[in-house]
Order: sequence, then C-alpha cells, then structure tokens
Amino acid sequence: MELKKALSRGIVLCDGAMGTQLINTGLPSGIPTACCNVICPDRILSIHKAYISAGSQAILTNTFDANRLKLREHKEYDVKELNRIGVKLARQASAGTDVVVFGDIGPSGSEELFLYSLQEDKIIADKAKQDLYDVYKEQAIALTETGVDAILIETMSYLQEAIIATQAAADNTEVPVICTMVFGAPSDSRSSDFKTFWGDTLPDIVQGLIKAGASGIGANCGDVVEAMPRLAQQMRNMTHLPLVFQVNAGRAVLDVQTNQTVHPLGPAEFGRIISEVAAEGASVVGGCCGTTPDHIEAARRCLNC
Amino acid sequence: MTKVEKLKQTIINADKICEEIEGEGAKGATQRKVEGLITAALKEGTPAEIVINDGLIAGMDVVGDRFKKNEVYIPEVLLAARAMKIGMDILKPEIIKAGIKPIGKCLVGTVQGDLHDIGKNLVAMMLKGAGFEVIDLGVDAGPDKFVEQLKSQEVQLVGMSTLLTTTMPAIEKALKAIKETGILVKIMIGGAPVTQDYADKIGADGYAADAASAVDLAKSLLS
Repeated sequence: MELKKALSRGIVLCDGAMGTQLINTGLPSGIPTACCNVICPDRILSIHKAYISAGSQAILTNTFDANRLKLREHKEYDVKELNRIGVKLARQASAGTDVVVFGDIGPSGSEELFLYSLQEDKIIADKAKQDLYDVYKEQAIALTETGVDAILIETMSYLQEAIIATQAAADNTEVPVICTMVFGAPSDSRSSDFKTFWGDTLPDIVQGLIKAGASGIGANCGDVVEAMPRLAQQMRNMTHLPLVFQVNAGRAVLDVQTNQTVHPLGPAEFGRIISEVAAEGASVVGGCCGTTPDHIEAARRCLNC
Repeated sequence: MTKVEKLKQTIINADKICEEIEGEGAKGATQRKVEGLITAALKEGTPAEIVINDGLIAGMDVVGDRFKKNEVYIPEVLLAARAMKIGMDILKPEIIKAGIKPIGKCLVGTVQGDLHDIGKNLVAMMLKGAGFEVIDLGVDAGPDKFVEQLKSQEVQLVGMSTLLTTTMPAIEKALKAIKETGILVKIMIGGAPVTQDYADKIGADGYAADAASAVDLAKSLLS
C-alpha cells in the first residue's frame, strides 16, 4: 500500500528486528545479512510473515547492508540481485494484505574514509561525494525497480552521509524517502541536547534532511531508548513531516551463564515506549535491534491498532 | 606560547584548520602547520621526546578527555589523530636517532566474522596518540592472524573488539589461541556487547567501555 494512504488511516506500525531473528536461528557468520536473501530466502520470508501476523502494517526489506561498499569483500554476491530478491521476498510475504513495503538502506560503513576525503582538496572531496552518491543511487534504483512503496534510510550516524543518501534516493526514484538517524545518550549536563556519535545536532539534522528531499525523518537504534519520546517531541517541534521511530530493545549484553544474548527491554516495556513515542507525534513506529514479533504484538495492543 | 605548546594546540584544534583556510585541502594545511612547528621546535634545541610528549601526545590527551565527556565527537578525534600521525611521521628520523622507544607495542583487531571497525579504529588511533606503537589487523581477524603477528613481533598488549553479540565467541577463541602459544601478553577486549563480566569469564586482562578508557587501561596493564 502507498505510504501516504497508510498514514491517512493513522499510525503505521512497522516490523521489528530482522538481524536478531536471523541470529536466533543461526545466521551464517562473516557475511552481510542481505546475502541471506539468496542463501536462505525461506527464513527471510517466514520472519516477514511472523511480523505481519504479529500486527506489522509495514515491513522492511532485508537489504540493510546490500550496498556496493559493504559487499566489496563478497564479490560473489550481486548488489542489484540482493536488493531485487529482498523486495520480492517482502512482496511475497505481504501478498494479499495492505502492508507497506519499505526498501531498507543502511550506512555504507565508510564514514571514516569519507570524512578524510572531505578534508583533502575540493576535487577529491567532490569525487568522494559523487562516489557515495552513486553507491546509494544504485541501491535505491534496484529497490524501486522491483517495487517498494517507500525507501527507508536508517541507522545513519553521520549527517553528511545521510544527506547524500537521501539526495541519491530522492533524485532517482519516485517513492517517498525517509531517513532516520542514530543518536547517542545525551550527556548529563546537557540532557536535552540530542546528538549523533558524529556530533550532528538535531536542528542541523532536521534542516539538512528536509533540504535533501526527505519525506519523513526520525530516529532508530542508539543508546536513547528511554529518551525516544523526548526526542520525538523535539523533532515534532521542528517539522511537520511524518516522524519515523524504530526503537531497539536496549543494548545487548551476553549473559555469561547461559551464553545467550540478552536485550533488556521486554515486549511490555517496548509497547509502553512505542505508545509514548506515538503520543509525541511519531506516525511510523516499530522495532530495531533485539525486538521480536512479541514486541510488535505488544506495541500493537498498546496502540490499539 | 612556545612552539611545543602551539603544536599541542594544533592537535587539539585539528578540526578547525579546515575552517581557517577556506578553499584549500585541510590535510595539506595541517601538514604544513605541524611540520613548521616541529622544525622550529627542533631548531630551538627542544629534544624530540619533549616535542612528542608535551606537544603531540599532550594534545591527543586533551582530545581524548573531551571525547570521554561528550564535548567532542568522532570527527574531531579522527582529525586530531591524523594531525598527530603527520607529526609522528615527520619526527621519525629524530625518533630513530634519539632511540626513543614507544611506551608499548599493541596488536589490535576486530575478531573473526565482525566487519565493524569504527570503534577499533578509534582505539588504535588513541593508543597511537598516547605513544603506543600499534599494529592493526583490521576487521574479520581470526585467531591465526593474531597468533602469527605475536610470533613475529615483540608485542606487549593485544586489543580485541566486536560489535555483534554473534561474534563474541570469536573473542574467546582468539584469546585461547593466544594463550596456547605461551607468549606473555596482556589482552584487553571491548565493543558494544562486551562487559567486564564477560572479560572476567573468558580470562581477559581487562575490559574498556570506550576508546579513551582503552588507553587508560592499556597504560595500567603495562605499568
């Protein structure tokens, strides 16, 4: 379903983590998760279906790391193919439903090199920007050609890169483009001062992404789970664009007794935070790392949708 | 202000060099500024060791401290570290001539199956900034890679990191392989899912929560 139409009906509940679900069923080690689209498509399909059954009205394609830079050590996988199959799997899982399919785009993983390049002379800086633009353009086109309802660029921690990604997707596709950033925990002395790990401030982020062509902005992941409602409120005061918030289940720790990964935030707590985020004006909400179909089910109940 | 003090300030404000000189590449500008100050300091008869300790390392110390307090962020640390590296490269002949030894040699790497490296890179840079010699194994470093380097280099400290919970067991594997060689080194670990409990459980010598703390830990493990 078109995102605009879905939003006209009210709050859109997204899915939860893909990576966590793959990990729980034994993720192949050392490869980007998007490669699972060809290695074990059935598992991707069943994870999508589990989220839809739990109440997700929108799902993200398993294409977070399906970009040329993340795949440069894995040349046996084709960027376009991984994206196309990612979309097909999401479409297949949501066939016959009103579920919105977001084409998922994650960071290139080359922030550091990119920063250095920007510090060289203008010719090198311009080339670095163009190179990065082309990486995102390639992925955005592959996703939309196969048919996504919107593009969700997420887990961005460096605004300069997020702006280039948003521009690349907005310039080269017809679908709405959303970009969400990762925020660090604000320091005690400046508790309302949300920043990325790269030091980008909220006003710069909001203005920069809108100028780049974003149709929606927001936050995901990071160390600010409990502060997410406050962050949504601050963003709401800066823009009327739809706000998109994907909240994680807290920072994962390894339980040394059981050797199991533990995410501190359970479904009930997650549901509470999601409804608070929605109350502050976020219109697309969902889960990030560590969340499961149970978390989404709890959020659905809290949101009454 | 002495030349060494000016050098320290240049490291601290490496991110501002770009703003100072518009239209020119900041790397070239940093290179010239750092080179000019170091050459002038040496000409005045300042020993290379003082230039390093009171200029370059003292500057990085301030940046590391500000990073810990959330006063500066990743870009400032990366740019200060690059300015520091430029300085160390310029001083290389002096370091050899004067026989200045690094405070320790450290092997760092992100363990097998983990392709995230921004955290490890920050640790490597800040260790270098504190005067350590650092050998960086990069990402996806298996036990063999660690062991091979340990056998060929005289290393006192190993730093291993992971960002993913799924790759945490790879830390334990690499740690065991290192211990089996019988080579005496201190091992410190870090990364988002790693905790002090985990470090204790697998028998690592220490855990650090962030890059600046990793430097403090490295210093204390070798003292």
